[in-house]
Amino acid sequence: MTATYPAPARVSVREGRGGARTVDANEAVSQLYAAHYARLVRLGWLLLHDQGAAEELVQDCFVAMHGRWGRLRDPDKAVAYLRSAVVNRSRSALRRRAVAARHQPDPVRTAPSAEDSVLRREDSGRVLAALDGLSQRQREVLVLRYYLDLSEADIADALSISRGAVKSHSSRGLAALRTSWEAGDE
Amino acid sequence: MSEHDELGARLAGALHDEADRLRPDPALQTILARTQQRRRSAPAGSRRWWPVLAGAVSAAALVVVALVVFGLPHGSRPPETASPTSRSVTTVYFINPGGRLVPAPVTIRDTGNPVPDAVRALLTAKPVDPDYVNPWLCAGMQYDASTATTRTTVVTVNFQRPSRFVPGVGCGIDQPLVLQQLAFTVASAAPGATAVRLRGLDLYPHLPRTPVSLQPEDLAPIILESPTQGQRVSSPVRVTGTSDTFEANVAWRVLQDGKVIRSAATMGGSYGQPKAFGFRVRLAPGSYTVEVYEQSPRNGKVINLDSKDFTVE
Repeated sequence: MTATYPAPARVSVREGRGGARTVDANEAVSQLYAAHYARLVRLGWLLLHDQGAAEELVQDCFVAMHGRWGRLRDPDKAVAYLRSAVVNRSRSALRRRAVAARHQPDPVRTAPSAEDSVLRREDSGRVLAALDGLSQRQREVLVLRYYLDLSEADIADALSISRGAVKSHSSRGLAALRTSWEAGDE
Repeated sequence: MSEHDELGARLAGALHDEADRLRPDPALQTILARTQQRRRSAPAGSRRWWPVLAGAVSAAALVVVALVVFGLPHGSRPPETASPTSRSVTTVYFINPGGRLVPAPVTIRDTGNPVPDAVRALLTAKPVDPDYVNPWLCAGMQYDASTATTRTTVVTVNFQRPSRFVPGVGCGIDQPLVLQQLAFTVASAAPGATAVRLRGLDLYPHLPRTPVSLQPEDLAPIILESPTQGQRVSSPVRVTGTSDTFEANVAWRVLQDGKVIRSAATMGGSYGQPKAFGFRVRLAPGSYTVEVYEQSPRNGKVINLDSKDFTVE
């Protein structure tokens, strides 16, 4: 006996632009949440290394997107907006964190936790550690390129920089990673 | 492959390996509630229509109202049309050993009212697959089958004279997952539904007042759909399912008397992009078990396994 299983959880956001049914802000948030929330939190986590902060930040982005829905009116534009907002807010959060660290030096924080040490022994953990050594822009470009699989044009749009700058950050970032990995592999 | 491509592939693998392990807590209701708070605090000129609704309902109720007002993909279900004695198959979601939801077909008495039929099946169905559990069987719920309504993307289900459902008793499953089980089962009978509102359900801890939204993270990454548990089939056996795994890899093996007699790998969907997978395997008549699973990209261990026993005639 067979049954047709639904795909209710895999709510998809309509791809088409022309002729797409108008959706209200609540419905748009619900659909975009189902399709993109987890991935955006993971993007935030890759940039911040703090799950709680990443979740809060992405929720802020959805709330802001809800307020702008009257201007966006398009799921594709909304996704681009959310991506860009997550990166920008992550950058601001890191900046605040850096300022706070300067005013409240805490030597304990600089030592990795036991859990962190276990994680960093893994190869993929070493990659994240190497990413931490890159400049903010290089890290953002590489995460958008290799985690979200965005094109150069989409990355340029998300970061409000030129495609040439995307190429440059990507190339230099990869070169720095290669150096770091080769040092680690020895 | 160029050096840059190789580096990129290694980086992509590592980023997915690390980030895709993250399971964010459900937050849709928090977000929607915050959007309503934001509207309340917005300047008067930007919320001319707001006073009509503001004093009347809570933020949670507003979500439902907004969905009712703005979209009508399907209306209330029609009254009973089928013969009370006719039977059909509905989909019920059960819970697998990994604490994820898996759908399975359940034969029901068809009243022509899909949502109440599906809920009734959930409250009474014992999973055929011995690996799955149905915590609703522990609850002793009674259900009024005539009062489920579907409006836009929110389905309202009314329970009648329920006994208290206490998570941790009997099946020992946490309440959020139990509610997701119900929500997915209802949604399978109401295409387009993205949330389920529950009335008359006595839960401990108390039921959230807002509709329960479907959480994709709670679905099993690998769902083996065919053959079904105990099915009698002919060779070659067609094995099908849906998956979203690391780099879309799906491994499988066929066992007879506990020994692996065939094994290979196929492709499904990658993380967050579920797709169907399928393969055929020729087998002599006999009893077999097919196991479909993912090998952890971290340590190669078998994870997210789903299995079915079947007989080749």
